[in-house]
Amino acid sequence: MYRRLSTSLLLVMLAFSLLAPRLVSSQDIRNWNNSTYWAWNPKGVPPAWYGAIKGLPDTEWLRGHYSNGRFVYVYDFHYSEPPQEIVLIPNETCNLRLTVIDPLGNRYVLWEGYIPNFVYLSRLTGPMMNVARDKCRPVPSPGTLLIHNPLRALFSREGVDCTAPGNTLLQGRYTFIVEAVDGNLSPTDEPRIRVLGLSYGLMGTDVEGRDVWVGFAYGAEETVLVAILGAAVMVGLALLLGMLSVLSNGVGGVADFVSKFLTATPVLPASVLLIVVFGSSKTVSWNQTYFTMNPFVLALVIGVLLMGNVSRNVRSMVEEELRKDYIESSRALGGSPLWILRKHVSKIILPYSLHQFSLAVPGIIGFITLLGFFNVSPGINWGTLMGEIILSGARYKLAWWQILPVGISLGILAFSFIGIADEIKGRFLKG
Amino acid sequence: MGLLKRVAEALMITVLVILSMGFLTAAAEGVHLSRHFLSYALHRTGQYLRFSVDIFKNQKGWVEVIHEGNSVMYIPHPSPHQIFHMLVGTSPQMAILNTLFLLSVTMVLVFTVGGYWGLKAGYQGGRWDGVLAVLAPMFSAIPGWFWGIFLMWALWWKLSIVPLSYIDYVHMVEGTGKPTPFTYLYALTTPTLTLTFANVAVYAYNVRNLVRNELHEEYFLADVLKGLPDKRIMRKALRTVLPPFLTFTSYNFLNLMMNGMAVEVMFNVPGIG
Repeated sequence: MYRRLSTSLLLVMLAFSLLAPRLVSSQDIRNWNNSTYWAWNPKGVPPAWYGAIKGLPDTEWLRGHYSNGRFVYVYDFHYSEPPQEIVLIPNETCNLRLTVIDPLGNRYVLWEGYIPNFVYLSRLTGPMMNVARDKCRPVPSPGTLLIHNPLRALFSREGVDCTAPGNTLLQGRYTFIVEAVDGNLSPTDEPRIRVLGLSYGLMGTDVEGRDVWVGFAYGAEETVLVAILGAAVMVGLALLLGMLSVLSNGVGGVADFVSKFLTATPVLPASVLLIVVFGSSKTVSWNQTYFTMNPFVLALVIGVLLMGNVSRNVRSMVEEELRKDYIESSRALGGSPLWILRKHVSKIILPYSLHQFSLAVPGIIGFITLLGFFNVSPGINWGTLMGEIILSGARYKLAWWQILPVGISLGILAFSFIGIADEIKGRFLKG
Repeated sequence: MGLLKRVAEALMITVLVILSMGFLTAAAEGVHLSRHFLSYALHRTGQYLRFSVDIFKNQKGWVEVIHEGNSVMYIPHPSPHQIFHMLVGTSPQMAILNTLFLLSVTMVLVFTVGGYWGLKAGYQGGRWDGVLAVLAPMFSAIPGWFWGIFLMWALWWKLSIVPLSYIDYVHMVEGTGKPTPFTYLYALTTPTLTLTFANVAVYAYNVRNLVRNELHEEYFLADVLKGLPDKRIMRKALRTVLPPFLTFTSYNFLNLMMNGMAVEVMFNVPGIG
């Protein structure tokens, strides 16, 4: 039962890691560290399905229709909270007027004039204060309104405290009218209106507004690739060094010394330094530096650094095996040390290596996330995502939509590999 | 002679590790590989070593004063000890002590709870064993920091019974009065529980397996046939499995320390992490 479960989970996770990166846009990946690319997403919000359960506004582009030289957008507001932001993005620089009509028919002019790039409605303190004076009782000060999301005033019922939490919002259809101050707009001038809700997509967004699903799906392949390759390098080299180190000639001496040296090397600081040396970095702010590194080189670095203990274990197992009577007989019959290692000892060591491989895969994934904690996890993988969660302080906000997917996936992947390791141990290594 | 050779080899490995870490640090600083690299990296390694020793000396830095025309420029040159203090928020001695304290309390909890649980599961089986058999692979699979987030959610966010940030809590107490040992212990509750949670089932499972192996030994059968009380047999089993368990613990200590570093970062504990 346990074996079947772990094998099935492993297959599902492997399939996911191979398929998921193909499901995300390559443009999103290229711009992963470009904050302006993600400017039209809300910052640090949970997934849309969670928003649907909790009554939080979704993120959407409003669809406009052209009528009498102006564009009309209807926003069906049926939520328990106002959106994080509403942005008006004109198609060209011209003199525009933005009017909002609430479900009761009240009209508010929020903007009149040139828009060089775009307008964030929540930052229009003056017009929003006019709305607040009309609707809110008591009328909040501009400072209080800014602290409590000025859009709350726009979506508020009349005569209520716009800064108080609770059921103070007026649900219904809000109409946004964009027209030219002088003359008419042509049908090709269509401006765009983006509602930055309090929920987004399949897995929400991080504090930069990046789609968590993109990083998670794309990072799956690199995480699994580095973990499996790293484990293969680690076990392969440990096997080679551990077996060679028992030889009494010069090769054995060198192998033993290298194995001891790697065991004594502090893995975490050494990995950090090697990533800095072999990777390339880009500093985007005083506390944020992104590292990139070929995943194959990363796997090699981690595999080599983590092989010390396993190589010592292999060596002691080989030494124990070499003391047995049947090995003495082989030696007496003229078997060379290398022949004995290949013919007899490898049969004992191979299942152990497979067992260690299965344990190493989750171990390396955990190690990559540890690198993320120190902001040196290179590329886009689950370790990098973890690092960004820690650096951005999302742990204090308990942004579960960022933490849980990585944690649960790591857990499932590790659980399945440990299940396989237990199976190997049960079949080949007992007694 | 054998002992001398082993000591010499250990010394050589230590020197090589220090040298290689120094060389790597020099390379990470942006020094390119050239024919001068070796001598420069060696020189830098010496400087890193001196700096590492000097951070423990409670020396004050100095201020360079440059007069230029009517203006005066002050350039502070902090001592290694002051640099460390500025970066970490505490003295190096305290940082090491914090880490050692965190790991020691964790080990005491893991040994006590894990040892008892493993012994009970190995000797008596039943429900204790069943729960452990399910939890051990799960706990060894889930990374340690994940428990940190879980405990943060449960104990700080939902119940508000523990502080979140170690250093902030200690500073808060220092601002209102004199911290007692209990202050530090309380501030370390979540980091300690995180590390304990992450390790206790794995350690218990190891004790359980070792005890299970001992059940097949003849002396054990003799004790049972003699009618010795369960508690006495369990004590004896614990004594027998202690050496291999300590070997397992020593192998796992580095792993625990690495997880401890991440947990320190998570909960703002100014330690080695």
